[in-house]
Amino acid sequence: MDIRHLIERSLDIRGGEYRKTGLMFAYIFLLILSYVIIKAVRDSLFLVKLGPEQLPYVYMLVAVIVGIVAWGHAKLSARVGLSVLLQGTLLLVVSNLLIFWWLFQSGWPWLFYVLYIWAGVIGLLTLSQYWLLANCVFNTREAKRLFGLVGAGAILGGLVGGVITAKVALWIGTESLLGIAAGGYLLCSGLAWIISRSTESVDGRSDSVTASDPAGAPVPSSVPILATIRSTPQLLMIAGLIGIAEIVVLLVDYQFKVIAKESFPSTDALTGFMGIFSALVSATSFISQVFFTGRILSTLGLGMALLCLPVGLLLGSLAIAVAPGLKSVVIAKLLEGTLRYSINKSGLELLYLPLPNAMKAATKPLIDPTAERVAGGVGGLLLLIATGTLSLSTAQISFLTIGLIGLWIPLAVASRTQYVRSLRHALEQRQLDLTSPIFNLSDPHTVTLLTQTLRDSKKDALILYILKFLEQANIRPYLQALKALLSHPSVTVRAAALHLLIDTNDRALVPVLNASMNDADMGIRADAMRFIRLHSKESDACLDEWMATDDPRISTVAMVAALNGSTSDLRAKGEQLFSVIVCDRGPHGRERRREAAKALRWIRPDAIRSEVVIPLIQDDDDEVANLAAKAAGLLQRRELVPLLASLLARRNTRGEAKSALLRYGDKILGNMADVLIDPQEPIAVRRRLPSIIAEIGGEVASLILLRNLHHEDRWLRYDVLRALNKIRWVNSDLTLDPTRIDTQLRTEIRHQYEVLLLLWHPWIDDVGQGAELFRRTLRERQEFHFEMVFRLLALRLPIRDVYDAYTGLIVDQPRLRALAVEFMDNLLPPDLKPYLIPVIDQWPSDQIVEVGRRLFALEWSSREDVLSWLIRRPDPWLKACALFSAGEWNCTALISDVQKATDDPDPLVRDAAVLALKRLGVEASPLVQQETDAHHN
Amino acid sequence: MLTTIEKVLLLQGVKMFLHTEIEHLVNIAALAREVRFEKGDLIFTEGDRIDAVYIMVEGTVSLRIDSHEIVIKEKEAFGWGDLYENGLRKMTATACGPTMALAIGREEFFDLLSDHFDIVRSMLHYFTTLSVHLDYMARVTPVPDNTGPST
Repeated sequence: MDIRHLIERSLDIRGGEYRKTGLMFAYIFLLILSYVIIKAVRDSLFLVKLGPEQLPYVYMLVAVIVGIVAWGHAKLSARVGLSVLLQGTLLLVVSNLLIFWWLFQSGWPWLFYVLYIWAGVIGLLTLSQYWLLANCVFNTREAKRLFGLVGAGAILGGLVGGVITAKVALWIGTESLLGIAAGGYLLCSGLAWIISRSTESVDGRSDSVTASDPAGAPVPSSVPILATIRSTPQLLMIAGLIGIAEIVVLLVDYQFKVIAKESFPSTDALTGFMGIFSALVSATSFISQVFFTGRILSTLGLGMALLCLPVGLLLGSLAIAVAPGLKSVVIAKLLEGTLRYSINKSGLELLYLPLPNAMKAATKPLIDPTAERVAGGVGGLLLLIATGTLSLSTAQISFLTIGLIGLWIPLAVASRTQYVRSLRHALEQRQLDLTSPIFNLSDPHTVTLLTQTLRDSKKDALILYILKFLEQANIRPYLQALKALLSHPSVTVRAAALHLLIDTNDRALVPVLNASMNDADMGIRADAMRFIRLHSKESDACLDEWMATDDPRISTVAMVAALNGSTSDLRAKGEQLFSVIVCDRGPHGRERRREAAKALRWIRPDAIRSEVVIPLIQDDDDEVANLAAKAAGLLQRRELVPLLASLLARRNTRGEAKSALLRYGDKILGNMADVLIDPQEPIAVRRRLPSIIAEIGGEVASLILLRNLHHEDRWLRYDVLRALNKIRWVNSDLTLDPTRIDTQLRTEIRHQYEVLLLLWHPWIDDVGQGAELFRRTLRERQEFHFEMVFRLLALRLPIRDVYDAYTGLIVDQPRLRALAVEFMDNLLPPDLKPYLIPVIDQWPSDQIVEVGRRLFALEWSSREDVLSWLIRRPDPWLKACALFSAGEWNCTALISDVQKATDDPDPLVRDAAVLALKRLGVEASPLVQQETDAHHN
Repeated sequence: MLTTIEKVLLLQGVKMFLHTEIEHLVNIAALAREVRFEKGDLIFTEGDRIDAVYIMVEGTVSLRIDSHEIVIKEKEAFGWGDLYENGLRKMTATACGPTMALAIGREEFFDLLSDHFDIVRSMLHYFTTLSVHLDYMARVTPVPDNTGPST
């Protein structure tokens, strides 16, 4: 492995990220290095030149002025691009440093006040601008990986800056250190310029997106934010913790500076001490962050993490109170510097976690700096009262500190309790970002909360939400809860818990997972079996034993494992068992066949033979057939298509069969066409196919349907036509062969005229049940053929126009109807008009009869003539009605026609013919009579 | 024995099938079988498994539920109320005299409905009209009679 790969793996830097990561690392390194130098110079000069008694005033001024500058900076950055802001600030800092250096020769005392406040201001500005730049340079995913590495540059800068200050102050003098800091900031300016130029989002954002608002999102009004903070106990506690910490830190800082000044009277020695102390704090803070923060949070929890800093400062303050001196203040200040920006900071960040993201985004930028500034002012005032009015000594200030810590500790404990409460609420609302890098699933309080939720929650979605996040965590603390979930009523929950347990690869879980072998869900049983086999010494022997068991749940899963097995011997055993099960009609046969059908989806496709799927599809149990159909849809084997089609005839298997056929897609259109055209196939199957073909759609589908437009079965014809309409409705540009459509159109128009002429024939008014049947039938047929004609027209003409016209013609509104007739008159091709306009326009009956006679040579002289014609038609129902009427009206002239009808293939017709013969006083042949009686029985 | 076409003639007079296309009645008739009962015969009793629905051809049938009784006459259907439930009969049907009815098997009828949506549509038409009518009747408030002599 070369060095590049080593770096990539250890630091998680990827190709193309080296340059920008290196530049950003160097930038923050120099920024912090320079700032540490400035701080040391500032503190020592202030303490030596003005004395520590001025500190309370400067603390208050820093709080006020930094607040004002931060507000002004926010306003300015809303108008100016980030690169301009960066260069402007850094070059201003460089020039200011040089001016300070030059002015120091004058010895003006106010200068040290200005320097102290100025340092506070530039510390805030340069750092916040750096992180704004970092947010532009790195995207969210890069930021997650690389911010830690870049942040290490800051720690290193603090360390090196402290060492340089300590060494160089004695060599060139404190004031001259500002020159080194200026050089550092100048280099930062150069780096910022290079980074800005190479990052499109920084240059591009100057016009539209401003520095204060990297996402371009509107800045929310502060009024509702303040109301939100006031009404959210969690936020108030965070603000309280930040504020109280700031006051205590300020008091300790004061003590530290006073005693340091007393211990190092010379400016350069004091600067050197400040530098080396700063380096020490950087080192210990780094160690604390890397080695202790995570562990404390995961083992002792948030409560202890929040208590570390106050307890540390309590010890430090007690030490100062008991033995005031350099050692005591160094210990106190070191504890503060070490814990504040590592464990305490992580704890405070964690407190924000249960809050909704929008609330967090709106309130955090306000709470953090404001609480610090206000507390800084209050701390300064308190110090002024303590040292001025109350004349407390440096050591006595510790009592004030201890008193404040007495408030701090209960607040930290209460915050922890409130945190758990908020966490529970956020969990229930599923607002918790468990992927947040600061969220620790090993934290004892979190473990307790999540375990309780997993155990007690009735909401499956919530449990699954937690289990999803446990996938990326150490699940040891959750083992008991996960084991309990193996008997949860929800399959999804059981499966998720099982997968987490399996991922541990812990052999000790074998007894627990044995219970899952009896789970109702096959997937769970299969996973449990796989795990147990993995940890078994003789896995194949186990499989044999399981396959031989009487319990179909276990034997089927073992069969699946064998079929998916790596050896041919195992697979042969599996196939043998499968062949036996699919034909099992024994007492437990149905259950075994159901399990086998369920198993199909768990077996590798190449290990499934169609010979075992076929009996399952043909199974008389609907559940078995449905499961097999589903598997067939996934296997997509052509030989299974006719079997799937046969399931369309069964009410309870129709849906699954349709889904499976649709899953095959257009490659089986040919197979479906074969079934559609085959008169041997049940009509119930054939009638289901057009809608499936239409759903697959496309040109081939429309061609197949078009070829089937002429079926004698009018309902099949209707289904085919509906399917074609459906395709054309979706694809109105589709052009279909007009010859086929026209041929069928003429046939349907002819049927329409036949019906109309029969309806207006005098015999229809005869009394009797036969005439009544005819009247109702013909009226229904008239509507049917009318619809068919329009459906066919919709294949030739613009479909939506035809639909609108049809709707207008069938509604009972004369005005709308007249419009529709007029519209059709303009829409119809000239060759169709003579046929259709008389029907559409509802011409008088004699005119319609005349048109029918002329165009289709339709004419019947008598009632018998009509009945004879109908008996010879291929329409079974009309034939049956005619036969019934022949008997009712005693039409002896039709006896021979009636007798012939007794041989009709349709039992309905034969039945009516036998009845008619009986009424006509003619004996049906004994064979026919026998058949008819058998039909009725 | 009734022929299919004769059964169709009977079915077309049943209110529930008034909107059913006559050729669909042929499908229903093909499923229907004649059943005959004598006076006092139990056609089904409360708690029986629901296996069929009936259409009266001749005679009358008494339907009892708790203390209520309904009398079913020719061309009326009975046993439908329980049809869509998977449970058991909620009433008892007794022949009041010599009775002939058409019985349609529950599963076969459902198969038929699943094959012919037009039958479902016509039955829906009947039931929704009936439901709207009953709902209307339940909401109608009698108007007080103000035409009486004034005092």
